[in-house]
Amino acid sequence: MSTYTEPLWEVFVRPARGLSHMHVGSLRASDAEMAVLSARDLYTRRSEGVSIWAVRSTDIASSDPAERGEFFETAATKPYRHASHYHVPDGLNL
Amino acid sequence: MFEEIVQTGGQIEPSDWMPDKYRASLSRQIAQHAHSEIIGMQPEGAWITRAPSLRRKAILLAKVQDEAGHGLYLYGAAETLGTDRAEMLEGLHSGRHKYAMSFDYGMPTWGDVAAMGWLGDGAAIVNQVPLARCSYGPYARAMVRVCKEESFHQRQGFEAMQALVAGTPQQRQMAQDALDRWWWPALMLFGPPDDASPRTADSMRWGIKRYTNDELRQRFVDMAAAQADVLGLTIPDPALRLREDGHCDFTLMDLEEFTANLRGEGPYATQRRDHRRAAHQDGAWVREAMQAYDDRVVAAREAS
Amino acid sequence: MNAAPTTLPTEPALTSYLLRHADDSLVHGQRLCEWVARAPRIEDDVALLNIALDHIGHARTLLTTVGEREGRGRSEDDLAFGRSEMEFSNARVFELPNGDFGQTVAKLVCIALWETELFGAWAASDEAVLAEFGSGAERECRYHLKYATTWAARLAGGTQESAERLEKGFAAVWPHLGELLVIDSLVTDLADVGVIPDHARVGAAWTARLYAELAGLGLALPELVAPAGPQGRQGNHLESFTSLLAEMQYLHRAHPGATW
Repeated sequence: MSTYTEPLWEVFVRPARGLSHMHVGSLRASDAEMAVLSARDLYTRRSEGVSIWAVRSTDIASSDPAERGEFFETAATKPYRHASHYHVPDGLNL
Repeated sequence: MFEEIVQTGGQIEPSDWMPDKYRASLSRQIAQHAHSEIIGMQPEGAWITRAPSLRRKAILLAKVQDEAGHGLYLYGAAETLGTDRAEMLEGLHSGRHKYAMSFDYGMPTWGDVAAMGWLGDGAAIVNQVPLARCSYGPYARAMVRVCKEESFHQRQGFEAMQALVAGTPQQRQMAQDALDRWWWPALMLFGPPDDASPRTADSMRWGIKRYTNDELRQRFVDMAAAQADVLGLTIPDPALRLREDGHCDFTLMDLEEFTANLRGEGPYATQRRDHRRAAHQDGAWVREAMQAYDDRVVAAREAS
Repeated sequence: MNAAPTTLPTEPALTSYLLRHADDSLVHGQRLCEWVARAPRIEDDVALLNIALDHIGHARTLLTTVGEREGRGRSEDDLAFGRSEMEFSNARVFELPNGDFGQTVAKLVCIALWETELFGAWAASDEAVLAEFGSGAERECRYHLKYATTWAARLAGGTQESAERLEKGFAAVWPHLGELLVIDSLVTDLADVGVIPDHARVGAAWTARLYAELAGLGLALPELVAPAGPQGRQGNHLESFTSLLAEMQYLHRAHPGATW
């Protein structure tokens, strides 16, 4: 019997106009057309979206979990990038 | 890192390091969960063509379609742990993997469809709601979707039971008979009692499970007993009784029967697996066509 | 339904016309339900059940309308479960057994093309009942068509086996398609007063697209012609139809007057 497995795709759905596409899950499909068709049936049965992206999982480049420290933790030491770092006199609209 | 995250109720993501046993245990549980959705389509799906009203037909179609969808969400979640779907399906077809044994019972009447929706999906919700907070991110997220979508499954079952008990004497009898058949299989959905559940300790420590089998079973019985009263039906357990503390005393399912089911000896176990295997085999030529088309046409398009 | 007064002179013809298409949807949906838990991939279980569900939905809307218009107090369920085979007026292609996946895909391509053309024409109609139903149904059927043609292309361009099975599927469906081109007095009378679209044009548009689709798949089949003699529309159904009805109706009929 055939042991063929279709490639894995990550599915992103835009829930409504004005919002970004969000990752909702994955599926298997032989090609892009089938991936979008299956994504429609699988992830938007209850009007969850107005647009679908399907991306081959292998085409996604990601940060290395081992480099989490140098990638993300250094940002935590720069509180002055946030508005909440600054004192605003009471009652002033700034 | 791993221990710290699971101890504080945080979530592990696919690229994180995790103990082999955690990975194996989750893989097994999520695949079993997915298989249960897929096998569960059979007994209920068989009633779609025979549903007694068009409204019931549409509801049952939507429900069984959800089950297929939920199976797919869950296979997707399990794949993030490194087992691909073909391997999981092979496990289902060969009998190497288990699924919820309750689907190995028969659904001889429409009453069973109603009772399965009410009790089976009621039990599923009790089981699944805590899983939406489990320690593995992809599983938890899949369960959030599943729980949201399944909220109608139990309600439609209860409503179908209400219609039966409010109907003719025959319909009422159909409802009681189905409750008699489905009460014990519903209790079995929560797994073995805690003292006979070797994996519970690890699952709890790792945050895969948030409550023990017996805690969840108790929660279900308390709810179902109140619902049976509203329906005016009798749960087939003479020992069932509401205590002053608001919880029910009840009898556990027959453990010999439970163990036999676990060995794959449930009444329809062979039929369910054979049906699933046949569907897969009958579709082999279609999947081969898809592969050939993909190899040829899509490769050519990408090359040009 | 505020359209009733203006359409009364066309009764009972328009109601009979609606019943034909209600029966088409019901019987097509019922057949597709037989695919549950048998599809080649679980994704196709989801898709085929989706298409079935849309058709059961179409049937419910149309049967309810028929019940209201005929004024005999019949509900959608009375009409679906209470009539015998001779009283069903669906065309035969809708009741045709599914066969293998190749035949089902072939059937879906032919039917979805027909429905997008017909319902598209309804959507443009001045008759409120048709316009309202047509615009929603046409959108759904366009999606069914996309699913069916996507698969047809893969089967035709897949393996030798899949191409043969698809071809056999079209060959099995083909003899039953001509009925959709029949234009009887019911259709002519309603079209003459402008209540329903011109079926000759719908039929021509449908066959043109169908032949083009087949050509794209590398298939050639004889030109379709309207058959002579009674067909499904006249209650003259295929042998297999009684089994379909028996399965669909048995429970409802076994409990007369019961509510579910």
